[in-house]
Amino acid sequence: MPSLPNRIVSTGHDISVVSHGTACRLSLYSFNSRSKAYFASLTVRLRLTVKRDAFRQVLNQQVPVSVPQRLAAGECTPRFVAGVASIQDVLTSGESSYGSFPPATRPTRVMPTAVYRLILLIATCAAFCFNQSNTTAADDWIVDPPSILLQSNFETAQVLITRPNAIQSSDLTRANDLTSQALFVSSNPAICKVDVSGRVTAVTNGDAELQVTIEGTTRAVPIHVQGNLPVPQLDFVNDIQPVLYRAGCNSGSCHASQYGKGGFTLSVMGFDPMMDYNAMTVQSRGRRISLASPEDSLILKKAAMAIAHGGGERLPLGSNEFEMIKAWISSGAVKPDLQAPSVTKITITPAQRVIAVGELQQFRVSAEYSNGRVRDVTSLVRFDSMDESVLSVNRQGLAKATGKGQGALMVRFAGHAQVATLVVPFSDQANLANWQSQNYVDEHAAVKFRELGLSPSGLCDDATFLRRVYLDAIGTLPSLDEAKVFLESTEPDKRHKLIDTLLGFSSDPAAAKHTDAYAAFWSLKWADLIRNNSTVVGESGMWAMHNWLRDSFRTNKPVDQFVQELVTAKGSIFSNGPANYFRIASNPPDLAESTAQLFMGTRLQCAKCHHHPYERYSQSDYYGFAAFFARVGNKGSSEFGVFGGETVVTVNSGGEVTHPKTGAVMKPTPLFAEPVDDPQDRRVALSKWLTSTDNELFARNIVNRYVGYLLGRGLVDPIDDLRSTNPPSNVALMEALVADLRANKFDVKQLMRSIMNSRLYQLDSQPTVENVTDERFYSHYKVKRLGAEALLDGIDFATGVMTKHPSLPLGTRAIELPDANTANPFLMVFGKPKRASVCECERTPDENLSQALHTLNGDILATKLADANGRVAKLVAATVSDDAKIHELYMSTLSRQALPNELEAAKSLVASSPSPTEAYQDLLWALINSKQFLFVH
Amino acid sequence: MASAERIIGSFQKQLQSRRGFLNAFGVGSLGLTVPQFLWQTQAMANSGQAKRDVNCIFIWTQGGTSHHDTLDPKPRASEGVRGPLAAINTAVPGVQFTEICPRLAKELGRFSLMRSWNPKNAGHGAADQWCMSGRPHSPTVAYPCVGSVISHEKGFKSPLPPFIQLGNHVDRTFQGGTPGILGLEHGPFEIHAEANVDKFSVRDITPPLNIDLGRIDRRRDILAKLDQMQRRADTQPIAFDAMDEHYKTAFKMITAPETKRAFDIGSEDAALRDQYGRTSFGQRMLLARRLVESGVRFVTVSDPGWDHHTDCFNGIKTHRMPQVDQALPQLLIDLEQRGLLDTTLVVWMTDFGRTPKINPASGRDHWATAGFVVMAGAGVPGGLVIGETDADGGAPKSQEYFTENVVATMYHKLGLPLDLTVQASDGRPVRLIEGEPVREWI
Repeated sequence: MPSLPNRIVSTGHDISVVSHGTACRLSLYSFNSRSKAYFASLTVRLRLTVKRDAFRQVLNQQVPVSVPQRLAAGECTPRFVAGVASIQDVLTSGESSYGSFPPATRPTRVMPTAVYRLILLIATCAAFCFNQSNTTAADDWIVDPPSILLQSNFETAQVLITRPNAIQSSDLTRANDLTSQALFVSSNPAICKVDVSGRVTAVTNGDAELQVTIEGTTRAVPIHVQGNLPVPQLDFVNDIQPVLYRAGCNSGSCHASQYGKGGFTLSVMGFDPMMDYNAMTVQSRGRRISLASPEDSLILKKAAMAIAHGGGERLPLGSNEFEMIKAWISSGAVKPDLQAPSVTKITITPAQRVIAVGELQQFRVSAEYSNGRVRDVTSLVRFDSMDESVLSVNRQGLAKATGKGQGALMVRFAGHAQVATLVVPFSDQANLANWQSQNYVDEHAAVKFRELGLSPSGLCDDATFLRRVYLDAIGTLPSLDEAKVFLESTEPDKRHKLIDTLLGFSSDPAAAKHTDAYAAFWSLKWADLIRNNSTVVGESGMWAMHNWLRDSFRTNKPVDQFVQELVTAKGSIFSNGPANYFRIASNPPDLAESTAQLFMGTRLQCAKCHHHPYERYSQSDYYGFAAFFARVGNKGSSEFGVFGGETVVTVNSGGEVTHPKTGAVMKPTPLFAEPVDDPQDRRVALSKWLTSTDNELFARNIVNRYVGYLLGRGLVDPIDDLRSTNPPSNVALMEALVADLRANKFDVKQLMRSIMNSRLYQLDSQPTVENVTDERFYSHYKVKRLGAEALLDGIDFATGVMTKHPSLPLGTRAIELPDANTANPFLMVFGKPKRASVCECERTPDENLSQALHTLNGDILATKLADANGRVAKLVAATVSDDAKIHELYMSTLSRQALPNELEAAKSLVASSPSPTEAYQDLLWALINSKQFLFVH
Repeated sequence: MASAERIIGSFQKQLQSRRGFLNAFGVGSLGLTVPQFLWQTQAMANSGQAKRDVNCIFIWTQGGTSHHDTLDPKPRASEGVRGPLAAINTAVPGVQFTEICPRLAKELGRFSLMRSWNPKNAGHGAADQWCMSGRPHSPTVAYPCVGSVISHEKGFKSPLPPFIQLGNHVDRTFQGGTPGILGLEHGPFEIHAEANVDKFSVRDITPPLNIDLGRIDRRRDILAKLDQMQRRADTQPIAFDAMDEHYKTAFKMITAPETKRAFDIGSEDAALRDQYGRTSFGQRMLLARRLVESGVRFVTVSDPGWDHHTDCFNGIKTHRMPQVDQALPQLLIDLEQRGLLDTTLVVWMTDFGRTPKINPASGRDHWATAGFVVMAGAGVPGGLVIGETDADGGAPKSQEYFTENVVATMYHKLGLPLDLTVQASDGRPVRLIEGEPVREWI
């Protein structure tokens, strides 16, 4: 046990307190004069680090402490001494604690002797100082919970200290967290201990008080400890496995890897308690635990690094977790009780907070069990930051805002996951002076901008809008005439009209049904997702699927009907396009995974082998969902000859999916719902549920994908990963768009129209200094690279030379290609998806070196530029002015005329080049390689 | 933690400047968080591998080279197993190859042969994925091949890309030879052009048609001016910076004299070209050496046509094996003479072995439990033969190793940590390789 410090060293801003066995370091962190108004004193943030991993995590937090200025002269006040007292706690008891220290008001050297003398004062002053109360302090903080009940050995409770916002006191999301600034003292450490972060731990049965001191004010919180047994009874599933999970023992990279580590293998995230129990107690001749001498158990010695352990120190000697495992072994290493109460829900407090960069927030987590018990599990859960650029969080659940924006913090315990949201405003106030909401999208966006203090960029100009809306809606550049008409139009609602024309909302109903470029572009998108591919379903199957897709988009089939047709399809894969869905994925697990990901944005894959790490999906959910596809069969057909390759998708009368572990026959069960069935075809029941209002995820998934396609990033990101632990960046906007989609009976064109008509969609892509760091809230339009197909089509259009695609007539555009297989090197280099995965991530948005080389130096572009019938050759031969020629090159690439300075530069290029042909070739080459061309702006 | 925070802080500051973003992007795009990255850098420094820069030439004979008919003959087996090719002695007493590998037999002292490789797989496509990444195909995680990991971890050493694949004889049905979760950026730069020619040109690198370097320079100026005029303010979307950087690298690659020199296979001594063999494979091997010399870190040399279900002996004897028998020993000799052998790992792998029993079409079919691996250079002891197969060449009898062991050896030799972990796009941490290196080789 460490004794009092025997040496104190000061170097500059750091004060090191070195004691026997344990070293502490106090370092001056920063000044914060915010509380000056209250106390006429400075708040100094101190950092205390004990140089042992076991303590570092607990202690390495900043603690603001009030230090009256006059302390600089070496005077002592009760508040100050109270702080020092807690340093002594650390040094003498081995418990982690914080202390304050009086540095000079300017961060210069602190006299070591003075420090030493002050520490010696502790013993005599400690009792005195706790009884002092400072009447000048603002006594406006709330302790939560107001009283603490601990019901078993090792149970802990986290206290949260909150000061409501002075201006909006009713709005607790804007409150300040004082937990990390408070000083906690247990009135009776024999009953319960408390650490610096405000975590109370049961020791023995009885009553005590938790004394909370902030800025001189002390309050007492009653504590009652009961249910503490002389021989603690710990439950393997509810107590031991969470410890292993939190310490990372059963993570995929440690003992839950393929072969485990050092012969010791655990199940991934503890999904198989019996396996883990056997691994710990039975395997290797039971050498991993020692019932006779629990603390000598191999498992504990390794985890505490008492002997060499490849995974390092995981459960520090003497820590609560260490003691829990030890107690479980002492009590006879009891088997998992599969009937024990299970966790039904976890709650994180606070669920949402608005804070500033650098500020701290302590979180608390409680779990509800199936027997009605509610327990504070903060010390047993795992905390993760979902957005490291906004917040970081330590093992104790203390989060720090590290950047501006909105970030989620995920907490995981016993197969449950929850998130809390931290909002860190970009500025005090958003500048929305020029913001005119066009529709509900803009209203919700504006609310978010205000909340975040984020000022959006201005509206984009007409030429930018023209090119953007053409490429986003139909994947095509406007023709020279179309561009000219739009740019020269002075109609005030010309943008609105252009959107309607492109989407086919024309006054002429015939035109509304036949927008070929729209159908081609969106068939391509969905063919990628559905993975239409002739290598898998043959040429005829691929064409059948393609034609069905084209027809669906040409007639603007409501997306619920589209999905119903697909999911219930049967018959010949050559004559019934959607039937190919059951050839592309042909077994229940694959079909379950693709269906969940495509139409619910849910990644079920994890749950095939283990409980989903970020969700409540278990293997039962996975195989219950797969059971919908258990009776899909197929048989060969010789309609097209023995080698014709035709297959007929059928529905069999039997066939089941069983749980791989329990062997139970699974009932077809939607996610988060009761089993449903249909006497003829289980898939009918699935398709009804999938598109019903019972299934929130269906509409959200469609909305999120289209927001992503149009605005460059989904409200939920990644675009096909909807889950409770990955909340939308703007919840209200998501809900409003979902309501819109439902009200319009799943008409996606109406959804696109709402988004495209919004000011939000029409913002400039040029960021401002204020919003350049925002990548999530659409404060400026997110530029995106043209997809492989649209880019090749664009180059064909700009150069006036069409690409001939194999076995398709010349004039077929790249966005019209039905198949994933293509021999076209351009499309391959630019990442046309192979359609191997249902993940949107297959089409990578990142540009790479091969692509740069290909457009800079590739022979495909070179040949097109030099083509004798190409745009350049025709332009050179034409009898129009140089100005007109240059404007045409700009119009055919950037859909706008050259600006005066661009025109000048181009003319001087023509004048200085060896020949006009070379000059115009080089100009067009440069335009095609410019970012204005390669990106949608 | 304090230092990690400080580093993250400075990382964010870096992100705010555009140039800094690119520097940082190199890390961010890897799917690594900064502390992970630092930790790995530290781990690599600790392992003592960081300083020694070892390159790799990976030879892939696509289709499954028959082990019976090349490096693991069974002269005492029945005729239906033995086949028509006679066994000959090698430089190592007691070790025999077939008669169609005379040069390999003579030069066995330069390389090591593993006869106890158990591929645990008899499917094409799956083999390419498994052998090149060390991991069996997984429908949920696309494991990257070693070349991509090298590109990801070590990046550019010269204007040439760090990872080049010669020929397109890699089956990608199961994403074999691809960067998988590391992202397209780390895929191989592929050169499909025939190398057995006098004037060798490389698509996208050799300027097309009548474009000379002067015109490329002019175009670069025009493009720079154009982009300049289109820029309205100093604040730009960050996507532009990544593109700027790629264009810069691309221009450098096209115009750098090293590039031209590396591909100028015609400047090689004619006698040396003959010694490699005037064949597609032979000249690719020579080109591979030139690329390694010019700063490429990992070269895959792919060779087609080894799937001998029919007419195995004729096919392997007259078409496939002579090229390899000529060029592989020559590469080792050449590397040694240039002092490159210590820093160049040469690996020869193929899909799997082939059936001991000869089929009625005079061919051998796929065989999942035996095969061979050749490794040389970078400290691999020459003349070492690891393990042996049973009497019929059907399964390893001793010192059995699996694909993951071979690939783990490559990781080790190339200075990649064996516990290298990256983050998949869905946030899942993925450990790239499991399994221990082959101890005889390290």
